[in-house]
Amino acid sequence: MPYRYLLIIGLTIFWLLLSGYWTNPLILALGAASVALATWMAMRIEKKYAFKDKGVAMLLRQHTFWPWIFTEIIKSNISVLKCIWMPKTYPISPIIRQLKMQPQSRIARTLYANSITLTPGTVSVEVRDQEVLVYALLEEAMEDLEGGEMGKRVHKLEGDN
Amino acid sequence: MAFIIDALSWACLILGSFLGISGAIGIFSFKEFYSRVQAASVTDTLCVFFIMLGLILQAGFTLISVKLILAVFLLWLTGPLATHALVRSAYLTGLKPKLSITRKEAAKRGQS
Amino acid sequence: MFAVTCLAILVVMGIALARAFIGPTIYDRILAVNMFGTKTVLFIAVYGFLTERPEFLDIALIYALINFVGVIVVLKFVERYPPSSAHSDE
Repeated sequence: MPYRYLLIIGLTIFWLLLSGYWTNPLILALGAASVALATWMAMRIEKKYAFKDKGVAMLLRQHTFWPWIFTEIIKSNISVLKCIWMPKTYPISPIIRQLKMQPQSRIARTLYANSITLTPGTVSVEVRDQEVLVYALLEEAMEDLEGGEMGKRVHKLEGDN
Repeated sequence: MAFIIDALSWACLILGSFLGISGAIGIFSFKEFYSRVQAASVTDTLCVFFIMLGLILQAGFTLISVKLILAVFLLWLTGPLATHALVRSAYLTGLKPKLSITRKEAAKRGQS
Repeated sequence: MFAVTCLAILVVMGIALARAFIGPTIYDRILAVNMFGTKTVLFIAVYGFLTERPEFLDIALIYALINFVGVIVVLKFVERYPPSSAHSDE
């Protein structure tokens, strides 16, 4: 079960970075206890909702996704800023629409809906099985989403099932 | 060299403050809840990023920078979740957004 | 320079609080409080640098988490027991 070991390694690094005391044995022991407790609780959750190792593979495949989503965030920030400072020249055109989701797995759909919400100007209102209800401040933003660039990129992250 | 980094970090802090204030103005001047969410979303993403980037440039390669990066990560992770939960519960309890007429509908009305 | 940023964040927090007071719907208030919380995290971080005590960052991290959990809990409560005046425009 590689997921458990990944969790332990990650939590240990997390603790060491946050505490900053790497020599005090008492604090190290407390850290080990916390890591054990957190791992045990995560395992209990996993029993109920079985995670797949796909999540880890996705994280490794994300090196082109993050820069892309960052540029998207900057672009949409600028368009919303225009609406805030110059409401006369850039009027808002709110629109709400149901979109089909290309990503299939649960984690990819979560990532997709989160990406929609993270970019200013669009927010995912409700997620059903394969559809997401999206509210957009500007019609152009909605058209970009309907173009499916983001969906395609998240779908690519999933890889071959 | 130190001067350049200082200047860069100041620029980042100023830009972040500007974005924060724009978001605040947006949250105040937009007419409707769903639009205000978008304005708040501006301050949740790039405002956080630029202010933290300014602080990271000041801190350099230390544990403080790691914590700052972690803070940005946490805020970017929890921000959309909270926004989605908020909008979803607003929508499900029946708060309807005021929508504009889309171009397609406008064209249809023009034809008929 | 940190003082200027602190001041700007305080202004943002003030405006968010004003929006929390005017409403008009309860969701506007929650949105404003959420934004207030995010800005508090930033403020604590910048204030730590202003007073040269970066240990404040730990508090900022914890505050980010508590803010998130708090907003979710309030939303859960509002969703289950919607106040009768939730959607009035006044």
